[in-house]
Amino acid sequence: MFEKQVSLLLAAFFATVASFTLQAALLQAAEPPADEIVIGTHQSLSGPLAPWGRPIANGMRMRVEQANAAGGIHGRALRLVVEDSGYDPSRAALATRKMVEVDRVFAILGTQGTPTSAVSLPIALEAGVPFLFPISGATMFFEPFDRLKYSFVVPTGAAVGAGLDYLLAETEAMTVCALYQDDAYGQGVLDGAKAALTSHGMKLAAAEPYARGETRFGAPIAKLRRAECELIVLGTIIRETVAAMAEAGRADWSPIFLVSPGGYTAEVAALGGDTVEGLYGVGQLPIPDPDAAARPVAEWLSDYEMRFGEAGGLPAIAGYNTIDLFVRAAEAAGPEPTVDRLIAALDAIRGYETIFGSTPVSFSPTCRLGSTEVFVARIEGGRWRNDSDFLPTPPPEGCPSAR
Amino acid sequence: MDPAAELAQHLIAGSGAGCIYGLLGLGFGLIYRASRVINFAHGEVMALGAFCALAGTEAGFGPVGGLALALPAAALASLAVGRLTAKVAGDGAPLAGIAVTAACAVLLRFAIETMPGWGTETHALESDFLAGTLAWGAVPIARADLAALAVTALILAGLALAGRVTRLGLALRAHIDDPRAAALTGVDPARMRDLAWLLAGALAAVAGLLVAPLAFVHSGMGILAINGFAAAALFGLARPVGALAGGLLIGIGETLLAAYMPGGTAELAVYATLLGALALRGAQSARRLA
Repeated sequence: MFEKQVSLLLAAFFATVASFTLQAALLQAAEPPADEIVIGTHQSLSGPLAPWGRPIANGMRMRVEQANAAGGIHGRALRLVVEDSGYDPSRAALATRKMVEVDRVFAILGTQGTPTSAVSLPIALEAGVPFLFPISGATMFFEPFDRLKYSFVVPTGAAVGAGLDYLLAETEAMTVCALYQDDAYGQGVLDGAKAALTSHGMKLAAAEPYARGETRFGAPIAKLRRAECELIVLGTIIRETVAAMAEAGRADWSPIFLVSPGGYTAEVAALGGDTVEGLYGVGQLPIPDPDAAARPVAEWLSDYEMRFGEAGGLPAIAGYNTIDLFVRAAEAAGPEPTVDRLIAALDAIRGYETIFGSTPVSFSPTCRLGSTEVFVARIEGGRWRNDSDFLPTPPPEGCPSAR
Repeated sequence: MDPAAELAQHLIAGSGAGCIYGLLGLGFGLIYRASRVINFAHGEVMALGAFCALAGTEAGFGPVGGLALALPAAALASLAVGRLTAKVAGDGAPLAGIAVTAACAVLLRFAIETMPGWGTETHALESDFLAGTLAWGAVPIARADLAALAVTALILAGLALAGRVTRLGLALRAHIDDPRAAALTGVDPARMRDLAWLLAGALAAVAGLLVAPLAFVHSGMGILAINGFAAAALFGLARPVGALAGGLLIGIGETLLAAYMPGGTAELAVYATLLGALALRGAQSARRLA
């Protein structure tokens, strides 16, 4: 009985595999029509990071629709292929293969997340497809040099270091500590803080790791308090940022908190309420304040809300900006775009700025990290407000210094 | 901060966490004893309870109103998992049962994530009653931890009483002790299994509400149930008191290790304890069989 069931299951399994294979073989990898430029991205439209992936995709769609409404790029329509990665590297790899082999995309843009983008990068490079502006603070997307890869996200560690430099000067804090997630993300934050302190002849007074998904921070906060920390660098994301500050508040302790770019999100301010008042964060793209936005940003926010039925924020703007920069380069590449012409056009971009007040972007034939600046923001009255001007970070080899 | 006050703070916070693990462990034990299944969907049932409590609270009914919504929802979800497990896997196939509950966990999580307004975002349960801090001398105490202690004590007392004076409680205890003997005296085993799954679901809902003020409500919160399982397994999934003792041991131990040992020690210790307890039990039951 049992064996019969298993053989039936196996038969069904192989039949499914066979039908998929057949389908894939029948899919014609057609040459894209000459009057189109096809670009692709993958986002987590489902899964744990869907609240960020969906608006990134929508922001990208919005800029594509605008470009097409304005007559396309030298008369060619821009078509965006959006695949769901579910924040799963294996699905991201499949999606990338599909975009490269079936959709024959001209470039891959703005893919979300470090692990998911990391698997896509080699596939794109091998196929000779430019891999542009992934939403990730990892260094692999601009180092080592490859003519096909471009990024404008300052690596997490460098961003934290610049933020810490600024706060050391502003607050005269002498005892600096860290609370960080015990994974690659948290390690990046920790390394950045250590490097910044070393340049001041200082050391971390205490560093407390926590496991991903941790819910209670009473013990690590008590340890940091025993070390008499005046400034705590947080390698946390959303929940942990709020929970750690709530724990300090519970003990009536109020050191200065600086969160890495992973925690510079509207969600932290919304979830934390009064708890996170005064929190510093490092970013490259200001979180818009709908009540106090400059006119063009306010108009953009209202357009976005009309189009997608929800308020736009940092992820939507980040997605929008990736396409905006691509459109600018593709227009400069001329009516017959090729990869070589696109690269020449990208390499000629200098001081690209947006209406959103993001740090300026410049590339060159030797530099694949377009932005080396960050800023420090602070939560005041429940909103993130910029606290510093743009702050330089050490440029990678081949890139000019920001100052 | 005064070292003694700090120690007191950790002990209370650890006990609060321990009570929540204990409530979850109680559910694991009930289900295991009544239907011989380790319920891998227990954490997701808790998450469902927490989301329902959130919905009730947000609708303006406070945590009590939230609980009024969460209890039946989680109990019924748990019952559904139990019935499905019995239907698909039948009796006497514990591995198949575990596979079914694992599948139910995925489905429940998917249901939560596709629910409009819930999704994969993190939510804060706004409750003045549960979310504040009290000061006991120099010791800051989270109200949520106090609530966990009080509620768990009440529940244990209630369960103990119900198991001794009500017919249903006596029947459930008889079924758990020896289903066949109980059936001979007229206790319907299917009904008792249903009762165990319902009770476990309700306990998970309470745990979900208690954990929410400190750890937020999100679709991934079910992972906490691992500690609940550890709590139950520590003393052999047998007694309600055992689950609570296991929970307290893990909650307090984990908090103290985190506070006074190098970071990362606490997680290791929890899993080492769990593995140790399971290995010991395995050796014991092997000896008993031999």
